[in-house]
Amino acid sequence: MKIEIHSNAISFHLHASEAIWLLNSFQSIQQSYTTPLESLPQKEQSFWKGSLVDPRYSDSLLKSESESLELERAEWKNQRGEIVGRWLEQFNDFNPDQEMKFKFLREEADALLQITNDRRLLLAMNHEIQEKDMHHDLEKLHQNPKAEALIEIDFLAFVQGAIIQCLEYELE
Amino acid sequence: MSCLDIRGATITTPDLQTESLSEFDHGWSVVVWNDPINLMDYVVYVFQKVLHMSQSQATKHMMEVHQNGKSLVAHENHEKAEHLVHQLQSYGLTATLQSL
Repeated sequence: MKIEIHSNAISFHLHASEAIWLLNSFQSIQQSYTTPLESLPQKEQSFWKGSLVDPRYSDSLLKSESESLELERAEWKNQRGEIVGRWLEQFNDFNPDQEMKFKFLREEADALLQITNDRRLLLAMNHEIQEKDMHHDLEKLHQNPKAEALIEIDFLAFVQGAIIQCLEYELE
Repeated sequence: MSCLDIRGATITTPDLQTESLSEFDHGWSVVVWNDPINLMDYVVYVFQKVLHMSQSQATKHMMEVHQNGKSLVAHENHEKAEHLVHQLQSYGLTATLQSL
């Protein structure tokens, strides 16, 4: 992957295989973003609702604050669904035999971090990935859904690393 | 606190109602918990962005999360602490509000 930084945008020049991974990740997270909360599996519903306090303790004392968090998280889910929808349009003419340029606005860089992170967290939750699983040897992974999830989590970490590198210039 | 000027002397007396409210309102912590998925560099970036920490402060708190399982990253009044929890959660960090 090559990165091109413009004045108001950032472009990723992706190899075809990288573009396919990114496309799959976007399509999968888009599915979660656009599915109504009540239609998602229970675990995903809890993920999107979030928790304001340590889940070991009751948050009954912060009931209105917890409801406010839940509403805000639902709003993020909708907003991110719209953003990913726009990004997916860039893949309409994607030819899997060729490289692809994925371009996003600098002001969308944080959204790209958040969206790729949502996907990583959901994959980890759905495949019950623990700390020990994260120290895997890719070559020794057998072909199964958990291994595929770990590879996608690694790929998205690579994407996040690239975005952070671009953004660090702004923080310094 | 309120101030009274009596015969040229300034006497400072605590405003009990304000003080107890203020005490309550400053007793909230923002705690970030360890998780196996978020990247170290990502957590450092989020601390810098949301909490306006320097790179070294952010790295120190990230390591605390990683090694001790959690880090108290802010101590604010209720409203500000709640806002920070929302912001940190928007990046996918496990952040909670804790009353002291």
